Amino acid sequence: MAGKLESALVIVLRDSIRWESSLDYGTSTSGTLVPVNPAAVFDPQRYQYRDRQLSYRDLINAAAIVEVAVDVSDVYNYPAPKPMMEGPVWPQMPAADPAVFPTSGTNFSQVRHVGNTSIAYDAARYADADLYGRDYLIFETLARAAETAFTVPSITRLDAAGTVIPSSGSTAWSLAQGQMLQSDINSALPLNRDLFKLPDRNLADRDNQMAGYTARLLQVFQNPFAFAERLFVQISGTEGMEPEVYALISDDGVDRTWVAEPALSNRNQIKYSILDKTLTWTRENVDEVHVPQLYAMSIPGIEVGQTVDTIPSVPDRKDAQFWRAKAGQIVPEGQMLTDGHYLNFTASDAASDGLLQIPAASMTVPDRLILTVSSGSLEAGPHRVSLLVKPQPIVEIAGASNTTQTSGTLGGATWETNVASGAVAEQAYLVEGGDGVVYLAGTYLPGDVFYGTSTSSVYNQVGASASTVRQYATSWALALPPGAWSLTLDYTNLTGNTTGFGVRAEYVPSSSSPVDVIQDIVPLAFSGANGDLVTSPPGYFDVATPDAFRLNVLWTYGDGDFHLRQLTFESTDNEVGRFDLSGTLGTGTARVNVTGQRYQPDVMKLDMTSGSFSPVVLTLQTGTYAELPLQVVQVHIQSIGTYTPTALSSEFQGWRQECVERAERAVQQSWNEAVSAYRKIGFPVFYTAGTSWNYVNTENWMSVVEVKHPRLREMDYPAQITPGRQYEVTVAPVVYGSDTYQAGDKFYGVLSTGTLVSSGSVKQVGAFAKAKPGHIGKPCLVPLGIEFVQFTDAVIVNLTGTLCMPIIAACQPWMVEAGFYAAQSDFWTPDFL
Amino acid sequence: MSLLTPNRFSRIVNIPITLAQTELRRSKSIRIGDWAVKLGQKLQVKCLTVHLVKVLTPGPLADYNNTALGMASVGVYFGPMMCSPLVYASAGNVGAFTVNPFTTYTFLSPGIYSVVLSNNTNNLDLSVVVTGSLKLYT
Repeated sequence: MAGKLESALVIVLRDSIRWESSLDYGTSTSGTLVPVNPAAVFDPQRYQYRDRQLSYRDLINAAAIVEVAVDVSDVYNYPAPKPMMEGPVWPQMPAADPAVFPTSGTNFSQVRHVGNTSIAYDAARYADADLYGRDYLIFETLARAAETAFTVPSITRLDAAGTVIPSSGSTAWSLAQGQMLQSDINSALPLNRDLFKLPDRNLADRDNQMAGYTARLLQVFQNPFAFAERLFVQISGTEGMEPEVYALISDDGVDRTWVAEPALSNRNQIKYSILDKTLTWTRENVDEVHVPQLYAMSIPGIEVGQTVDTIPSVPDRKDAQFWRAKAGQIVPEGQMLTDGHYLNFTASDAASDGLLQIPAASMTVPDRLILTVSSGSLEAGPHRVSLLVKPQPIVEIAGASNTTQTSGTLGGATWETNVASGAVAEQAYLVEGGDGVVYLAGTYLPGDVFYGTSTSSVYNQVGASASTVRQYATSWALALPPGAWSLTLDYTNLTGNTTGFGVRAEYVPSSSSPVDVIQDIVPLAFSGANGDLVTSPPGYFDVATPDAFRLNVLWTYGDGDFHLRQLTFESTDNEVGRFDLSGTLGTGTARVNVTGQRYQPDVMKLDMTSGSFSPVVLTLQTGTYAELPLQVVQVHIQSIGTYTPTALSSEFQGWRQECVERAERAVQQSWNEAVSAYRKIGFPVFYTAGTSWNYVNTENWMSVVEVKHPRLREMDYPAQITPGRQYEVTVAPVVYGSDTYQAGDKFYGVLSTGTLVSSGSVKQVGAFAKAKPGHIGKPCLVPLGIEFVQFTDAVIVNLTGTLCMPIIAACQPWMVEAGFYAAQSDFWTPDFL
Repeated sequence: MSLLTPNRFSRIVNIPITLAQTELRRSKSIRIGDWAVKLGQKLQVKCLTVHLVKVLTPGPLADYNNTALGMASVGVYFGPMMCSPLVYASAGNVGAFTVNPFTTYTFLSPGIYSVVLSNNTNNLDLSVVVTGSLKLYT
């Protein structure tokens, strides 16, 4: 390329370019100079304007140099020299004006100054044209280099086709008698050679300075490895690694060495031999040697087809998943927890004993609860069982959880109507209408109740007028802490018409007479559509002992089809309860003896050592205290081990925390992008009903956060393949598009390839995963303004929409219940030292 | 990066946690301090150390109330529930044990946070020292 300006390297640079008498006067936009008409009367001001405009063009060059130098600093972290400026100038040279700059075959860096035999017009015709051309040459040279060196050029070329300045030619830079004179054309001065020559020599000097700066920048472009303090390198080919930042760690005058973050001595390294001008890549964990390669932006790697590409651009913003991978490269010292079996919902067949409530299995009084956490096996060794628990003064029992085998839709209990002869079970039945029925030698008239037994399922009509038989009672067995309790029923009518149900509820202690809790003097009203749930007024009763009792609900009269969906018991006696809980896991046992606040979720930790066994069954036993019912919402088992720390990493104990903070910033930046894309108006509102927040709101919020951050969260069973997100094969083979992937392989969703995989299964890759009870204290992603309102069991968010910025906070039990996402284990550090 | 101005600096409160050598009876706990975090504020645990100086009850093996928390533990709790500390240091034997100082534990959710020292055995009296520091960004 012409005008590489190497010879300008000899110029001693000054640290600034003075404004002097520079004048834009259209220079920055039109690129022309004030014209001079040699046939007109001599006007020295026109010559003065031209020099001032040329001076301004030097400022444009200076601004362009600053622009490029800043980019060099950003890309290579090398403090490239740049002149200080005395005012703002747009760093783009306008296209050349052919009237001023007749190009062809000239030496662009020379200046034909006026002599004693020149006429005034020669200063415009030759000297100004040459000075104009020098400006052009400097800018074009710099722009070409920037275009070649940077992915995104700092400045735009003037001569894209290379017609004005050819791509080959002399590289010598003429100093053109440049001298800092700060001289100007003035009509008050004598009209002689120096009137024109001295200002032109000053302009030539300014050009020389810009050429010197440009030459130094070009040196960096020619061989950034001799200067760079940071490289952004992509190993492509067989590795498929993400681009990494390599930081300069040594420069001994013989070799310059960069190492990838975290800068451990055994990490990926790139070494530049100053003498040999070769690059060598040392790859971590591999013994194969990289043959030194002559320096270039792209060199062959260790393996066939592999290349080491130095990317000439500012390192792009990394996402949280990148920082997760980075965090995992340093293993700290201390106790290690490894996630294992997890039961996220206990109100299921996984629970036995205890009391099965609608939200979770529970122990309402000292009791035993057995939870089958997994059908898999548990390895021998120390484990931590973390229980997400909630002391609840509200006990919610599904209608179907009765002792009389009465089932119904949506987990409720539906009283059987029009029971046919031959269908009598072990229930209480009411005879309605007709002449009555005979069952097991007993005669029951309308309004009478008889109890079915296993002896016979058949009844007979007494007379010609047939009676109907329907279920009369359903019973539940449970135990509650002593004290005052209320009971409400959620009921509905399923078929037919009714205005209400005569319903009586009885509290039947084991050793006492039944006590009416809800009386049937007035029927429970029903006026809505069939299926609409109605909550009864509360009935009150006292529980004397924590022993088991029976609760009977009797449908004594009324038309329709009575369905009881849920029974709700509530106590206001105790705000705080004590829990003495022991857990058994295989051969291991542990104990927790703590106090609990009603409504407030918390996590009980049980550390124990067990032998290997299968299935994974956890037995919990509470004792002594019967103050508040305790729901066991989730169970999480982790194995306790010890990290094997990364060699020579003792100075990097804070690395994982650093990565957490970088991940947080990356997520916040992408959130801002999403906010910018959505705009404030129409931005989703995440809360429900005022400021309330639950796990559904969390999912909605996360889905917005990940709009601009595709690798945000891990999901085991994504509904579909989403373009831009990354997936890992969990069950092979997976076919996506025309490619087949094996277990552990990762691929990105592509719009044109579709949203489905045709076999196997995948999980979505991300830096955060659903928080589990064992993650308390770990970094957790939550929206700004989120709050757990103590004493009310409410999670609220105090900010709306765009203000719900994702932030990292220590995970708390209520965050687990609200479905927030915690940082993956690669980010974790030991809890204590 | 924004500059730390005197105005901002004056609203960052360093809270020392100190409990001189104290006899901590079996099954007892000491609430060293409570701090209310308001909306927009941030509480960070910078360091927290429990030093189990001596077991005052000679002879018996520890009978644990809370197996996971060792003989003595100091931790930050949210609200009155005393199940599990959000961050804690646990002493399983005589010596000093500290919350990982390379990790920053941040609490932003408004509420009352407490630092509580606990004797997690029901048969040993302990001599314990607690030191630490919280940082409250107001």
